[in-house]
Parts: sequence; C-alpha cells; structure tokens
Amino acid sequence: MKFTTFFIFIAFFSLANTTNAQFLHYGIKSFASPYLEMEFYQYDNNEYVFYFANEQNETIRFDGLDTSRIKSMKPYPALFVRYDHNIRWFAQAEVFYFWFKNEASYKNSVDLTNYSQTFNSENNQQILNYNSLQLKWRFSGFRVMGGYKFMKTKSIRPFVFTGFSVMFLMNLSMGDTYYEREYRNLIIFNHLDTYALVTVYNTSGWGFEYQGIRISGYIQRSTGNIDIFANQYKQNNSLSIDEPHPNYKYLFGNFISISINIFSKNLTKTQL
Amino acid sequence: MKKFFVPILILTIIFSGCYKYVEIDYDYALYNRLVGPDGGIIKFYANYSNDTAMYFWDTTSQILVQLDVPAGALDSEMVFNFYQFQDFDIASELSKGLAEVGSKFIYFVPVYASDGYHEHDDADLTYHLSIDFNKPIEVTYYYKADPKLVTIDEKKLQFEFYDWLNPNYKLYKIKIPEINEWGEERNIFVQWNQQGYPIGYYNNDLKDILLGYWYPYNPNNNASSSIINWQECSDYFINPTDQSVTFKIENTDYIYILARVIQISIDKLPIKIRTYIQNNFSTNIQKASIIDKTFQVVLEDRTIVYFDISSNFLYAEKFNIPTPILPQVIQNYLQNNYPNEIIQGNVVEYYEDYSIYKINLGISKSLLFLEDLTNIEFLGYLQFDYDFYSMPQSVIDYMNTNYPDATINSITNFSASDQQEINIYITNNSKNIRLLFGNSGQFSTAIYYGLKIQDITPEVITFLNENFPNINIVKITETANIDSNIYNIQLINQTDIEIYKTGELLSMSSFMLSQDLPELIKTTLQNTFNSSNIVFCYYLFNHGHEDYGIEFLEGLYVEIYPSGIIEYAGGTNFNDLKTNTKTYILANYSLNDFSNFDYYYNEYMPTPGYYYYVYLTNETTLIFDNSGEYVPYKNSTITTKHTKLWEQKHKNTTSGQIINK
Repeated sequence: MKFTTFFIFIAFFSLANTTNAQFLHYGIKSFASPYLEMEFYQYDNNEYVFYFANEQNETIRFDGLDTSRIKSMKPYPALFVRYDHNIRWFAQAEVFYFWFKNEASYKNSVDLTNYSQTFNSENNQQILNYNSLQLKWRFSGFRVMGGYKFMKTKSIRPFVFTGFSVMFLMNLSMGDTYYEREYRNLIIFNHLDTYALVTVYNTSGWGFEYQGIRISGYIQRSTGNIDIFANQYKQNNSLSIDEPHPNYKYLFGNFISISINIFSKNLTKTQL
Repeated sequence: MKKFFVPILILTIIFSGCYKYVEIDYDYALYNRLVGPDGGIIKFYANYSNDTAMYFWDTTSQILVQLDVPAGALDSEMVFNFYQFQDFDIASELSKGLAEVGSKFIYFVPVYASDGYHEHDDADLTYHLSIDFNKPIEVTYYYKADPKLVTIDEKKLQFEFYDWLNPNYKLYKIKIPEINEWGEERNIFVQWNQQGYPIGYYNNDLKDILLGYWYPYNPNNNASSSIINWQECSDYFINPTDQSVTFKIENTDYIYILARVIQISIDKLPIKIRTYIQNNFSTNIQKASIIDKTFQVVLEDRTIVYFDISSNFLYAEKFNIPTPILPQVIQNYLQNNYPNEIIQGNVVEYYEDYSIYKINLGISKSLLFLEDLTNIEFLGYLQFDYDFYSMPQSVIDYMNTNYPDATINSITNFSASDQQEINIYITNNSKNIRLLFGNSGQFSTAIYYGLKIQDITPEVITFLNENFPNINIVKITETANIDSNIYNIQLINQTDIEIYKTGELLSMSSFMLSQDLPELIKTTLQNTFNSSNIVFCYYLFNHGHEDYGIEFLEGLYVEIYPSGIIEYAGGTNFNDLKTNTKTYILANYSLNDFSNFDYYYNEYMPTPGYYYYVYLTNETTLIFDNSGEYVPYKNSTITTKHTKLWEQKHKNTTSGQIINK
C-alpha cells in the first residue's frame, strides 16, 4: 500500500510536467480541525473487560468507548503543489503533518473517591486515568484532489474540489498519565494500539481564491478499515482479552485551511 | 524529472518508515484474575497505589495471594476477587480470651466471567456465591506483603497483633453460611460500591460470623463473642522465610486467618484463680485464656482479669465505662476541660492498690487518671500518632543522628505535668524497633523485635544449645538500655527465657510434662494430697528462686520448691483435706457447705507452721493444722487482703458499683 501510493504520487508529478498545463504553483498551507470524530466499535458487557489482580480487584470495561470528539483550532502545516489548467480546472497534491489528542474512555469498578484519594490526595489536580486514557496521535500524509474554479473574471473565485487522502500513522502513544498507574495503563493502551499504519480518506470541500491565497473548508472521512483487527470484529465470542479486539471504526473530520502560493511557474511558457 | 528530485526526496524521508511502534514490556497474563477450565495461576498484587513496581522490582515481593488453579478445577471462566479484611475492634475482642490474630482475614468473592461488568446497587441482595471446585485450588497468602499503614487502626493492628505472629500460630477457616442456613437474619450478602461492583461482604456480617454472634443462634443482643465458627485447617504450610502460608481450598465458603487460639476451658483454670475471682468479683467467669505466661479471665460483665503463671493477680480491666458512672472527680475534670469532646470507650485498670482510668478523647488521645485508696488525680495524657516535630529537640536530634534512614511507623507520647515518655516505633534495616525516651527527651530503652538467632550473642546461643538442644525459637526480643541488654526468648515448647547478653539467666518459665517432674516432688504430692491427675505443670526460675506449679484435674493447685517444700496449695477437692479435717467438717457442717481451701506456711500464727484454711459457703473460714486438727484461732469470717482492697476502693468511688461478695 505504501509503495503503491508513492507510485501514484510520482506519476501525478510526471503527468503534470508533460501535459499542456498552464501553471504550476508551489506553496504552503495551514489547516485546522474544528471537529474531529473517532468512532469505536461496540462490545457487550462481558467482552473487552480487564480484570486487574490488584488489591482493589480493579475491573476496567471498555463499553465500546465513547465517540471521541475533538474541537481544536490548532494550525497544522502542509506543503502543496497545484497544477492549474485552462483557468478553471486544477489538480493539487499536498503533504501535511497532523497531530491531536483524544480520550479513550471506559468504566472503572473502583469508586472515584477511593481512586482520587489514592492517586490525587492533594485534590488540586486533574483526576487522571480513572475512566479514560488520553491518546496522542501523530500522522503525516498526502492528499490528491482535483477541482473546478468558478467565475473566472472575478478577483475572488469560488471553487470546489474532491479527492482522497492517505495518512501514515507516525506515532500513537499515551498522553498524560499517572506514573503510578503506568503498568495498568500500558496494558490498556496496548489493546488500543490497533490503528492501521496506512489509512485512506475521502476528501471534498469548497473555498475561495483571491490571487495567490486560498481559503477552503473540507470534510474528510475514512474509507475502508482503519483498524488492523477490523475484519475480526464480532467473529470471536471469546471472553479472553488476549483475543484481537478492533477499536476504531472510522475517523471523520471537518477542516478549514488557508494556503498561499510561494512560487509559480508558467509551464506552457517553458515548453514553448 | 530532475526538478522533482528534491520534493520527492523530502516526501520519501517523511513517509519511509517513520512510524515507530510503542514497544511495551507488559504482561497482562501476569496481572489478570481470570481463569477458566484450563486452569492457570492468578497473582494478586499489593500494588494498587503504585503499579510501576511491576516493572522494576522483583514482582514476587509484591504478591499478596497466589492461586494455582489446576486444569479441570473449574467448569467455566471465573473471575476471582480477593479481599483482605481487618478490624481493630474485632481483633481486640478476639484477644479477650479467644484468639490472637496474626494476619488479616482473607476470602474470595468469585463471579462468573459471563456476567461481565454488571452494575448493581445497594438494593441488590446478591448472596455469597458458593463454588465447589472439581479439584482443590492451592492458595499461597503472603501475609506481610501489604505493609501500608495509613490509619491509626492499621498501625495498632500491625504493632499489637501482626508483628507477634510466630510458628505457634495456625491457619483457621471460618465458615460462610449458605443462604438461610443460619436463619433469614443471618445471611452474608455482597456489598456493592458506588460503581456497582463488589467490594466484599458487609463488614457487620463479617463481624457477626467471625465473632460467632450468628452461630449458634442467640436472640440476645448481648450474646458473647466466641470462635465457635472457627476451624483449624488440616493441611497447610507456614513458610517463615518468605512469610507465606500455603493451603488448599475446595470451595469459596470460608474466610481464612492466621491466628493463635488462646482460649482454654474454664475447668482448666487454676483453682487459685477461680477462687480469687469468686472472692473478689461479683460476676461469673465467661471464658478464659492463657497467652505469654499470663492467664486472662473474662467475666460476664466484660471485665478482664489478668494473672501471672503462678496464678497471682496482676490487674483487671473494665471496658466501655459510660461517662456518667465515672467517678465524679473525673466527670468534673472533663466538664471543665473538654466540654465538647466526644468521649467513649473508657477503660479502667484495677491493680492491687490503685486504679488507672483511661478516658478516650477521639481515636488518638487518652486522658489518664490515677485512683488510689484515698483520692483521684489527673496523671497526664497519652497521644497516639504524635507528630515527629512536636517532640523535644533532643529526641529529634537522637533520631536524626542514630536512625537517619529509619521509617517511623508511629509515635506515642505520654505527657504529665512532671513526666514525659515517648515511644517511637521504627523500622530500621528491616528490624522493628521501639525506642523509649523519658523526661526531657532522654533516651531510655530500645526494644528490638523479631530478632533472629544470628543476632544474639554466642554466650546466649551456647546457653540455648546446652539447655534446649533442637528446640526451635519462636521469638526473640532484645531490651537494651544504658545498664543492660536482656534477651527475651520464647521457645516453641512454651518456654520463656529472660537472659542477659552475657549468657547469665535472669528468669525462665517453662511448661513441662508431669512425668518430667522430679521424683521428690512427685512423692511429696502423693503423700500430701489425694488428687493425682495432673493437668499441667510448669517450672519457674526467677532471680535464683525456683519452684514448680502443678494443676490437678480434681481441682488442686500446688506451688512447690525443688526441695519438696510446698509453697502454696489450694483447691476445691474435698478429698485433698486430711481425714480428720474431713471428719470435723462433716460432723459440724455438711459437704455442701465446703467451698475450697488454701494450704500454706503461716509464720504469723501463734505457732508458725503449715495450716489448712477451709472456706465454707457461708463465708466462714475454718483453720486446721498440718495434721488436720481443727485450730480454734479465729472461728469467724476472714476476708482476704484483696477483698479488703476491692471493697475499700469501690466504697471510695462514686461509681455506684460496690462489689459485695
């Protein structure tokens, strides 16, 4: 999968160089994700339960994990190259880097007061890891899309586009955690570390262009499986937590972006 | 194509294998408590407050309980919940004539894995789940693996009970009744926490079972505590090296504990003690025990009377004395100084010629009052869990100099107007030490608990090898002060030894078999008394003074010197009197009038010598000489010294309780 997408990417650049294009723009882009939703698979009461053998007989149950929603205006970086053809049509490829945090939640058999007295006796800190585990995600990826610009005589031109994105999971790790709970949390986390290395997303959106500046909004939703054990969901009735448990059903996000052309090249002129 | 080389190179660097898997050195198999028909091992860890220890330390030192479940023992997947239960009040109650606890109570509350995470509420009356295993499951309980001492009660339990566990302790199991087995009101239900998850059984239910309130059924709310539900386990192994006990369980129907049953039959109490109780207290004996050379007699009014191994009165304790019946002097003091304090659980200790009242203010502070024959005065206060930096600077300096790395477990401070005594309980280099400081913080004594044979001097080892070869040592304590170092050594044959570090014997008491008594003593006893069935006998050495104590089944108790001279005798067996004595009594009274007798050398009689003092039920005392002839010395009621003291003391108080024999 990885090499296939690379091949497509390289082929796109080759095509851009040999067709009858007008402009090739290189630029930078910044995007944010005001809404990101990660949906998890659901499990019955007697599945996906950790029975930890400590003094509290601590029992952790993933009740399918709540749908994680992240709202953030944190800007992320991207580089793009865009090929403009006949003023209206364009094709764009971009690479980006993307990271965020979310909470995987569960139920804990231990009373909160008991837990907080043990791990947060000062009562002036956040209660960590009682019924959730923070996940830190880092992705890199590229996006390929084609679009159409309207109102070619106007200085501000609306446009629409569609395409696909490929994201590479660079790192998935635990976020803030009590040091004292590290062993238990790592056991839990290890069962959450099932996000596929390479995942593909549908992307489509719209925006406005003013000279070399573009502002756009788009949505992105995973297509296909994003969990390495997705095909085994509901296929085993074992109570054993050691059996594969898929976690992540889909990832959906709303994005906004602003991009600026840094360098433009008239390809037609070059060819002539 | 060349112009795209740079961006392609950048992308390649970004995408090619940048993902780094988080490598986790975890082992859930090590940390779960789920087991199925295939069997397996469950290890419960004492690490809830910090499970990072699972990474870096020897995890075996963290194990509280290990279950070895053989294949086929279970029919389905089960979750084992393991609970430890401890309660200082229960331990204290047991120690009053029943048993000394040496560990927490442990038990299991299993659940079927198919039930999953099922939330319950308080109204859910889920009953104890009784599971019979197809094969026995081996349990290893590491009773010292959970040293966290947070509350005062936990500290008290540790220092007053658990630290004294020794090879004399045995494993007992306490039955959990089946539903309605002991009646509808005597069922033990699972308790749920706010999360709807089991946290063991209700503590009050546990208390009722452990203290025998529920069995046999007794509708009386004042039912006395007992260990009727306790059974000694038949097959177990206590390993003192790793401080564990291993046993097998065939079901989930029992609670387990390491303990030492100290209760003895009232019939086995020395007659001297029974006579003393009869003469000096108004209530009957409820139960009795013997522990560490001391007889403990619990009376029906909850008074506990202590006697030494020679049946000499030591002191008596009475508990939970309501404030309104305290002496008026004490009540006035409390009203003037602590008008708003909650006062409960007051204790009074009666000694030969004085009493001490202990008034409990909350859980960590007590006021002490001394009452002698004439008045009552405030002694001082005793504070548990005293603050380290509140101690005199000299104590702080001493600790910082001599025990800079020690763990301070607890500090108690007794403070009076002209006196202060501080006790610091520490753990230093794996040794439990009690340090005593006197006035002005002056170091007084160090007591080292739990010493091993290699910790004592060669001279003492030589003494032990010569006198007690091949006899295991149960416990060694060293008391060190400026003047002397004394070891207190308990042997498994119930011999207690006090010996100087130099090997010089200070005192020794030892229970012995009747056949091991010297022939001279056996002969003397046979010639003097008719009783012949010896229940127990002991040898006592104290500062060069030696004697033997012998208790007979017929109700005779004798203290006798190695030379064969009787020091004291007393009993309830009429046949132990001389023939002419018996004839005199039967001629002038009846056999039913006879209560008991004493026999000893009285130098204050007009003719010093051995005399029989025969006590009749009408409180008349008859005196007979050594040949059994009646001596018309004082043919009237003779009250003992103790009786006078008791009466005098109680008449002087305003407690309203005058003991009237």
